[in-house]
Amino acid sequence: MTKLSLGFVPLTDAAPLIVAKERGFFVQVGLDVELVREQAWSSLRDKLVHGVLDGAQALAPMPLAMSLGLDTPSAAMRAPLVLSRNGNGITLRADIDDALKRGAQRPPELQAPGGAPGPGLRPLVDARRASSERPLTFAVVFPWSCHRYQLHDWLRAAGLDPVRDVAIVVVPPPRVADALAAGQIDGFCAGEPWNRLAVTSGVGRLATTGLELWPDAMEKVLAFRACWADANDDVVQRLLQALLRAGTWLEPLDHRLEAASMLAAEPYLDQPPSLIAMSLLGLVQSDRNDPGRYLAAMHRFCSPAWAAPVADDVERLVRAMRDAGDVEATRAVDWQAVYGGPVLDAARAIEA
Amino acid sequence: MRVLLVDDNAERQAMVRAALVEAGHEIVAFAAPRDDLRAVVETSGADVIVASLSTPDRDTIEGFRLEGQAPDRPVVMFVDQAGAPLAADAVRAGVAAYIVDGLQPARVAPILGVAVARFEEFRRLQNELALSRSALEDRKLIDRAKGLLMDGRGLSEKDAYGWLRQTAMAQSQRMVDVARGVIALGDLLKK
Repeated sequence: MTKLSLGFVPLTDAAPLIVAKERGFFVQVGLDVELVREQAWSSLRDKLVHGVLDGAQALAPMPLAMSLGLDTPSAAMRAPLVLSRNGNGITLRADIDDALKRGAQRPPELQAPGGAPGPGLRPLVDARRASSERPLTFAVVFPWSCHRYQLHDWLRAAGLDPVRDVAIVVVPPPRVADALAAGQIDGFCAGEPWNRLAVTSGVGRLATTGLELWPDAMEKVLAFRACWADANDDVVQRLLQALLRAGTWLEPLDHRLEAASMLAAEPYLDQPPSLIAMSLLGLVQSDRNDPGRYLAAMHRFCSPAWAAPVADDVERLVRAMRDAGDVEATRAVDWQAVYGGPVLDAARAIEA
Repeated sequence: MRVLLVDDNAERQAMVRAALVEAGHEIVAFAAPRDDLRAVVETSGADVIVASLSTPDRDTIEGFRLEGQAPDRPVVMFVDQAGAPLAADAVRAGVAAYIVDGLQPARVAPILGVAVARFEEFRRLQNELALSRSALEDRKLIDRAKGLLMDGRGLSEKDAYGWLRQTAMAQSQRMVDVARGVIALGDLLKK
């Protein structure tokens, strides 16, 4: 048995790692994996760079930001596997949502398609500026996240400049609902179960989902230091096989219910199973009284069909990073070095 | 220097604070969720932020980069390559440091050194506490098993203890595991 330690952050989309551990998929390929819970992305990144963790779940832009030296500490990274796609949402405080709908002056169901906030947001921003109140403030979970870039796109669709017109800050997801209630922030973009928690407590309303903004975007990846991955090729290959099996196992809905109780346990998410089950099944509610709708694609996991990062995934990400000014327009980005890799071999191996 | 301490473990925060005060620093402590970290950073006038590696509030500190305009935003200490071995020690001990723009990273090293030492001491104390707790638990289990053997087999206390010890040695188990077996059997016999 090869011993490994992998970091994760307690989120619904850590499901493949937890399922692979609990269902014995790691053991099947001769890996004794310890899952280490991290409460902060910065902590996970530091431990990964300094070799305290062998690998980790990471926000999709993190390994690229680290490889390009945008983040510190930095290191060349490899992220060959997409652990999960979709799963994010933008939640607004109830009074902001009301104001937005008034500003739009038409029923919400007639608002712009594609998750755009409609014309209501602009007057809200201008009113704040005129009365020299603090600007509309949105929280994301980490600077190098799809959450931030999806929020940027959503704001741009309303004709706003995400840098000049609003403030964007980082608030850890477990604190986001409280910060919304206390008026420290007016909205946030986060993964599950945090939108659900803010919506069911009545503090927030779901404005849109990441699924509508960036359909089937890669959200979390499995990341390693490049030097470690290159020296442990065989271990990486076995790890990918185990996770592809976990991703396949997670497809049927009855397995998702079973997974919800695995994830709910104390060493993992430590949250009520019902809360996790609702988000794993893809129930989306815009407010507390909304009966909700099921979006089958709300969480996609690393089954062979979805597990490889494809050119579309990375191009969208690099475009967003350039739009945000994080990567200069002229700088060449060798994304193959980060996201390219051996998923297809692993997929063939588990089919054999 | 003024140090802002961010740690959600109150006990450890107190230890680190004491050590830093002794080293002649002024401390501002942050307590989540009571305080708004962004406001505290704004008003505290801290030169350096020392944070527990595991606290979710670290991501908020990293997020200050997004707001970039103001000159007095903290930057990650790990930027400084000369501090790399110290950074690795700090990560292993579970502590991270952020320096405010304009300060020499070298001036922060002694502060981080004190914090790392206290974090390690805290961990050692926690381990000792856990060990003595489990020793106490073991003691109780062994006493219960001894009692069962004395009642059930009419052994003296000394012989009961001897029996547990011998069985443990013969099966190369720990005494507490043999005791657990005896207790489990005892419970079974009662049913």
